[in-house]
Amino acid sequence: MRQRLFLIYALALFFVLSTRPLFAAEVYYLGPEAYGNTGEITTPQNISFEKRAKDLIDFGAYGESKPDRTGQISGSVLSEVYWNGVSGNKANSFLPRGAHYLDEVHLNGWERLWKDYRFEARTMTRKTDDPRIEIRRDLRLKDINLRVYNPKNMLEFGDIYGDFTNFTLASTLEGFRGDFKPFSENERFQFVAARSHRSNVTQALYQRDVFGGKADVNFMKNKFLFSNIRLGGQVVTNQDDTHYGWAMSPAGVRAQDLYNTVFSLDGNADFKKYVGFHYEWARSMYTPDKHVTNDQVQYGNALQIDPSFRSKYGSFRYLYYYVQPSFYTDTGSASTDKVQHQFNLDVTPINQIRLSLVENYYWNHLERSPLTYRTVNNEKYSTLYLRPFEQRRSFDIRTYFNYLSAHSDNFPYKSVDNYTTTTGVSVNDRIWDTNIGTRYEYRGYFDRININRPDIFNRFGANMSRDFRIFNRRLYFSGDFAFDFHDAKAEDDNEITATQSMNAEYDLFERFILRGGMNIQNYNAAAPVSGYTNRQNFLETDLLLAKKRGTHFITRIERNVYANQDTTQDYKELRVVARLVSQF
Amino acid sequence: MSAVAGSATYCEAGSSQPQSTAPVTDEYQTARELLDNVFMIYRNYTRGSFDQILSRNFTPVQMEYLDAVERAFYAGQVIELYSFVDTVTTNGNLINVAFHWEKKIQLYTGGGYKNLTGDARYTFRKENGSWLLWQTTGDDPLLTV
Repeated sequence: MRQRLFLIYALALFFVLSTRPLFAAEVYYLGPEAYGNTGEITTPQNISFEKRAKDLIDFGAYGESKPDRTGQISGSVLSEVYWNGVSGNKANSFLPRGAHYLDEVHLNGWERLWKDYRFEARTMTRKTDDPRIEIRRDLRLKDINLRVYNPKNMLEFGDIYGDFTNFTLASTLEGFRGDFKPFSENERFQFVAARSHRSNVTQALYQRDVFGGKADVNFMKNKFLFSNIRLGGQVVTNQDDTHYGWAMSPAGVRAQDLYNTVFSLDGNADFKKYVGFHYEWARSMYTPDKHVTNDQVQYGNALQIDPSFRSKYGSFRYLYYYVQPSFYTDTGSASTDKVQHQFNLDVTPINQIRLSLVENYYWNHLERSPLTYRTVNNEKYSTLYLRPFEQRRSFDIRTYFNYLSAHSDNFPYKSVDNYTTTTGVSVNDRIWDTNIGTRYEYRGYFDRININRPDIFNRFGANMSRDFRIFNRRLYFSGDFAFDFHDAKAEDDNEITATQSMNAEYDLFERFILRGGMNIQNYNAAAPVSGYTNRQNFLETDLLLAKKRGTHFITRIERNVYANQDTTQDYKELRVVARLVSQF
Repeated sequence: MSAVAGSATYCEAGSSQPQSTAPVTDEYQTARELLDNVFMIYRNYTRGSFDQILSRNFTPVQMEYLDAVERAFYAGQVIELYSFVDTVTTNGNLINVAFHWEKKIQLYTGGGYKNLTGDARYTFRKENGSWLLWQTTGDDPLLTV
């Protein structure tokens, strides 16, 4: 209900704003020109309401480019009905039995506003009775996004992605987001006023409000040795909204009242040649539950330093990553209780060769860590890409090697002491108009503490694809074949998995396409009564009804058969689907 | 690339997206295709192929995620993996897709058979003309076993 009211309000606001001159008193967040001498903004072309309305609903001009067009509504519709049949162990199948439907409408709109401002809107609605897709059967507004912007400024509302820095904000939200350059290209200001999730009494969750701001300043642009220096400051606060009149879920779980604020400083220094530097330092304040009287505020620091060197023949990068155990960011991204040193070296002596080397050294159990011992990880990763023949650019080889060791520091009886080795190679080429590829990967996991047997995989694979002409019509065929051999640590016998999949597409007529595919996976397990065979097949027809709008009518039949050595786990699925999809 | 376009080990609702002849700038369509590509690469997983779709600036730590995906892949056989896109949001060179998923997995060495579900968000970032996986949050299906 709230979403519908917001949408109605926003659309009403748009129609009011776009048809008459705007006065400064009404425009308190858009563009520096709003505060000009006259206090008045007019559309330079004085576009009439009739012209705007006509352009908006001119669906006949779909796909045409009209330079004087003032706006457009477009989108796509999907309407699907399908029937699922399941036999055997129905609990093992995800499919709900019987007939179901799915309808989706994607709506996009844009409208030219005053000066160089533009309004855009995007919504997606869905209605289905399939509980796999939606729990509720009513019309669902899945997605709404409205924005007013010009090349310098933007105000956005609805489903948004807030992106300040890794430690502060990198998350989807519902609400407002603004991005402004009110003075020049060198200063940028952003804000968010939104929520990260709604209240949910069943899960004992309050609505979590997110407020934040970011300011960036660029200077030293192309001066002296620098191409640019940027300094940024940002703060994001997350607070639960407890004004709902309930404190417990029906199951008796008490809702927590979280508080989290993260403040950070970050920056880039890019030299004209070779050298770049990036850093971010952040400090967080965190209370998991303000209701708990002795739940004191936890303070924590995080730091990331990232210098790099680039030249024509390669690059070198060092990453220092430090996050204290008490650091917490609800809408950012951080790997807590960690110190990491990572060195990346990429070498490209000639175009046909790329070598990459990574040394990654990290550990946990920092000061005030809840862990009882430290685990130290040392990882070495190298990849080599070769395209040896300039005349044969389709032929390439990629090989890689990774070694990861982990050990704990709790002597004399270590809790962790193991190493993992992964190596592989893939070769791709195009021979006689056929794309072919082969691959191999070895992975061995060795536990020095439980020294029974290592866990070793050898995996082989091959693939091919090709376009044919059959009766002057295109036939596309692809196939993939894989064999995995698993020498398991807990079993004497090897486990073998064989997988093959084939797909084909044939343009039977200009507007009619046939597609089909099959996939067979056979798992020969070492443990008793654990192996299975899974067969999946489908056949599909695709009729192009209207080329201009991409209107397709698709029918599809799928058959899946799962057969386990424990026959009580067997099930079969049959799906018949009819789908209509079109742009407008 | 060793992955083959059009192969379908995992049957997905709506996986047979038609090639529209009309120009498509639909963010939803782009997000759907990026998600399908991740699962297609994962179906024939090798460390070398998955590494190529991962951003070097993956947050919080790229190598840690790469190792975690490898550990989860080698924990069991993935029999089926379905995904249903819920919302798509964008911000500059970032596109975020929220989806819920269902996964059927047989753990190795008699570990048992599991049906798993969850909600996740993948964020892709455009770098040098290619969309690369930059962040994952929620119940990541590639990590859940």
